[in-house]
Amino acid sequence: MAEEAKWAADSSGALEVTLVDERSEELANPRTPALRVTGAWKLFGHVTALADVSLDAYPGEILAVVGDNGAGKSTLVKSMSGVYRLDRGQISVDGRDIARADPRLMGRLGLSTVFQDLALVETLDVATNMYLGQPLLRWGILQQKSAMWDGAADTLRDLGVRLPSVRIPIGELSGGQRQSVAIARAVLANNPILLLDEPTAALGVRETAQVANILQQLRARGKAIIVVSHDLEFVFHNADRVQVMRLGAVQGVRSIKDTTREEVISLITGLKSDDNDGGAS
Amino acid sequence: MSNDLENALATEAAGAGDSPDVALSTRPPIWNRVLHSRVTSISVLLILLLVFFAITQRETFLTFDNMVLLLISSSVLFLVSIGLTFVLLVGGFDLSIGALMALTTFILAWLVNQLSVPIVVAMALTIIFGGLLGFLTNGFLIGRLKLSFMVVTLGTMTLFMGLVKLISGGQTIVIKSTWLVDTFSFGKVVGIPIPVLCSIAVFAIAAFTLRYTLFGRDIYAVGGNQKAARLSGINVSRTVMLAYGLAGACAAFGGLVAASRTGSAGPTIGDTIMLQAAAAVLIGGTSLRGGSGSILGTAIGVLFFGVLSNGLTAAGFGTQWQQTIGGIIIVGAALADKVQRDGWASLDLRIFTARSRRT
Repeated sequence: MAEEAKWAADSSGALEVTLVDERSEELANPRTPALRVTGAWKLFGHVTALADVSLDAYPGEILAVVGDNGAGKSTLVKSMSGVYRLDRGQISVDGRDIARADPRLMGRLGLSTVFQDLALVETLDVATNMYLGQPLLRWGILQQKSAMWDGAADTLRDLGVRLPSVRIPIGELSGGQRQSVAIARAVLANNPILLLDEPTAALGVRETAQVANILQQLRARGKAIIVVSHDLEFVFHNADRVQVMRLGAVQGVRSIKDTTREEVISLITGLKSDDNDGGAS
Repeated sequence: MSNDLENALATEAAGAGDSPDVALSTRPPIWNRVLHSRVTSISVLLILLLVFFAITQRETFLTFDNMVLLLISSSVLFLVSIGLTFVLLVGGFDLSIGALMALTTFILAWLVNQLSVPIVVAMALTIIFGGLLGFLTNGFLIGRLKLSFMVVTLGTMTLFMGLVKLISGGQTIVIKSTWLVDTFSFGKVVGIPIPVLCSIAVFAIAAFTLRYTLFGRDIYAVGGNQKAARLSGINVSRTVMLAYGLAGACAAFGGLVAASRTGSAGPTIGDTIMLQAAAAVLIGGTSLRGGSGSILGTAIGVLFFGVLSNGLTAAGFGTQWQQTIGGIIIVGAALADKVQRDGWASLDLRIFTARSRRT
């Protein structure tokens, strides 16, 4: 299985799609995935964090990755964003295989990650944080501060984020506001793929709704969005597909409209595992 | 899904874009910032101190000559403190700056006396040497090899002190240059002594760098959240190495000014400077945790201690008093900082835990 997936990823785009079509009856989707992971393995000592995991994310779609603690969700996120290097397996962006992923390279190739801890600098202001990885510069060394203030304000306004100013330090914001800034930073990068790790874990009802609203806007703009979440309410209200992980492997991939919460829960808990096929659906 | 969330979602979806409170300012909340800034409180304290000495020592304190003297005597501390600010901002500390400062004065003496290098070139080389030393020892060990800054700088401090003793044999060495003392140390340009001008220039460059350049932003980002900085593609090790390099260069510059006062390199030249600089930087509002603070704060911190020392000396109090009062002020500043941030209620004033808690 792993070998087949690897071979599929190494082949040309056309062949890849044919192979995927053969494997899954549901997939009549001729599009190239914006992000594809095939046959991913990651071991930490004796612990197998990822075992032959595959994942496809398509433009204009929200893919939720769910699973219990220790299911391998965070490892998968960190592998896709380039923080961890896979022991085996392949990551490809827009049909292009990535030899050695690292966060900067993945950013350049079109993937923005919103980490669970948000990776914001509390002592810096909102605008500086939003441009942390992509500063606007004059002569290569000077920050174009006013352009960054305006750009940050435009992006946040566009997403309907409520903040008093783009020049207050992150440390003075609420959890929801910080989450919004972290997402806005990813939006500002204008990358086609957005990866979010537990974006609603620390948020209240209203703030969760705001994040959902932002994600729907981005989906409408044709972004490929991957959301790792514990929150099934959030997933069922917002995602198009759900990929269930259990003990480092893919337990099943379902279209939200064709599944029920009960089925997803039974996949999460391991009561059901009928299509443990490596994941592409 | 709860009804609450569904309602909230519907509300959000309907009104997100045109809500009136979405208006986002690109201006800083200035009064809030000024009122809660440590720079403000230390500035107020500095002004009160100035007023106090101006009233109590009307004839001697607020004279032009005394002010110039105050600035000259503060310039060594000022230069060293600026370098230390970079290190604190990046989330570290440098115990070795005093020893490095002493070492660089002997490098200057060696360049001038033994190699007959022209004094201006020798001074430039000394500053470069200090920078490289900080960059390659402290910077490399802490930034690249990720060793603990306390252990590393304790080690390099001991090492530099040992080297100074080896080179000097405990003796002061006269630097054979009249230019160093006559022109550099006591010369003036438009009435301002050259060491003071040097301090002002370094201050301006450092403040500009931190505020407007990408490197300055990297310093704050690395000090504020190293992991986030790394994930954003900032070269964390290089930033840390450069910060220690700058601390070394500034310490060497301070050493030059100190050596120029006496015209000699001395083994005890940087003995107390590290603690004084730490006090000035911290009282100026730069955080020991990294990521927050400013060069302006450091400048005011240095001036504060300069004024305190100058005024107390003029009033007949010796260094023992200056040290005692300085110590109280540092602890007081830490306390004030806590109260300003978390309020009076956050202070748990019990010295012993209440007995009832354990039972």
